[in-house]
Amino acid sequence: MTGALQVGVGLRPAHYAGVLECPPDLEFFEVISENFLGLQSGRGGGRPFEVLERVRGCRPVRLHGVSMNIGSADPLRKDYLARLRDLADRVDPECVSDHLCWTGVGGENLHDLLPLPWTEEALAHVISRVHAVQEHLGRHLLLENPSTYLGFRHSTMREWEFLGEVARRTGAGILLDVNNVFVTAENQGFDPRLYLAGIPRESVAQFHLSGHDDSGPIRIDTHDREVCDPVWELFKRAVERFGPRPTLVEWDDRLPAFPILLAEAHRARAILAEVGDVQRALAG
Amino acid sequence: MSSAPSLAELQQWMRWAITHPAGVEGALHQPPFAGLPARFVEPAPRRLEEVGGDAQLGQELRLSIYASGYFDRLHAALQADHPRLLESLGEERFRQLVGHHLLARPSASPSLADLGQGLDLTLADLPMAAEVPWSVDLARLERAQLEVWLTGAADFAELQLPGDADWAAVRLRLSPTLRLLRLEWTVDLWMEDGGPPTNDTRWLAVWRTVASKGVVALERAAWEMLQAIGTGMTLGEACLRAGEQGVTPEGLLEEFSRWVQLGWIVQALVTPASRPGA
Repeated sequence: MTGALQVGVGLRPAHYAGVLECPPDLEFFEVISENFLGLQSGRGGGRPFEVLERVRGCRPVRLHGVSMNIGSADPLRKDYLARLRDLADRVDPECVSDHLCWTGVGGENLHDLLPLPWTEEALAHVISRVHAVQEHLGRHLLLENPSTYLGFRHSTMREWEFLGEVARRTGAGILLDVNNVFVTAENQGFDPRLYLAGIPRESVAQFHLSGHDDSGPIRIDTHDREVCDPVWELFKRAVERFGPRPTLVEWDDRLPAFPILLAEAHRARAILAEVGDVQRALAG
Repeated sequence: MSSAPSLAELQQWMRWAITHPAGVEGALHQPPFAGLPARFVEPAPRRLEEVGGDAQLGQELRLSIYASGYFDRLHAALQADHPRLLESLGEERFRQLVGHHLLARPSASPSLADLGQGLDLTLADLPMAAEVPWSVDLARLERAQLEVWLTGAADFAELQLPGDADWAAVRLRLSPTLRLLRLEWTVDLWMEDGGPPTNDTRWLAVWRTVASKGVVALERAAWEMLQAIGTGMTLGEACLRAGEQGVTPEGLLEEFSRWVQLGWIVQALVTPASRPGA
């Protein structure tokens, strides 16, 4: 297996015991950074961090955050960044990622991945903050495209143009969530293949896959079921365009038995291998 | 139509719409109701026109997806941290409690684990606290359990003193993963299926080490001694106080030995006054 054929799953507390007892056939785990930072007024990351230290003994770990608030009009939180850096220094993750969004303003955290307007003002703002975060963490950041349920009429560019420009001007990598591309495209009425075509090839450092709810008037990113067929097809296109990249399957609610999650990751690995084989044959 | 909003203006307006306790529709179409905190005054001008909507789904309903997600996510987080409080209050009252808590103490932390800080205080101000009189104590106990779970255990124990140290002036440091609670209801017994809570004062230690965790009821004198030690009282002063409450030297020695074994005492600090010759 080449280094590029790396698949992992999001590690959640329900998995801890089984994973530690019998490490599964996966190349890495990804964890939600904030779950290992402990309490704001506390000390260390508590029992979850103690478990994480054991997990990283058997597999590499990637830190994935949900509260960096990179797109907020609020100042960056130095206390949060200091705790994140401390966590990263202790865990030595393969990468640190968060989302291209805002999560709160006015000092309040809404704990959601809220959409940004794709404007020049927001672009300059996000770029300056990504620079600041990367300097603080002493490493490049990966930024993920979230699922969105609305857009803004005063946007002056497309999401993929915005994301690509942030990556180009900061050196940050793109964590391309293929499910989120699909969900946003369906919700906002554009062809998801346009999104893939608009993202700079060299910037994509990781893929995410997950399931979503399509039972309502628009699609909701729920992370509570299998990846659907159209997203698998889009994933194959993404691998064809960007090449095999470490790929993670996220499943957060209504967690299935671990073998089901593992099967999703193995399906991703098969697509990475299949596309890689074809590309090597064509190149040879 | 007003000019395009700045990022800050747009986000302040969206925060208002998404977190409003009346929901997006109520926020947009109903007059503000009495008693709302100042942060629920709508930032002017209204920015709904900037939100894209279409035949698939209108602007208000798209915003409502975020509003529902906000409440549901925080409600689920508090439910997960307080399963027995939920059981005790019932789903409807718990839902009301979450609504009041988000009004009184909105999240200001990057971590959802901090959201429940002060939930007992929110609850104490509501009529449901009188309807389920042990509920405030239950909220405090579940919060203490979460706090010790999410706090790093002491990674050292420095309990050796120089042989000639003035032990009476020594200060002891308690484990960061120990919480001392005085509760008025026997909710700790109820949590262990010991019958309905009764109105009896409980002196509890909630603790964990790397290997184990628990909730232990203490004698009042022992609890007060630990409390005194935790607030910086010297060993001599703490022992004196215990003696005044009728604790024998043998009993004291036994308690200290147990606390050290349980990992509750992690450090003996030889202060300048307790150093020989000082």
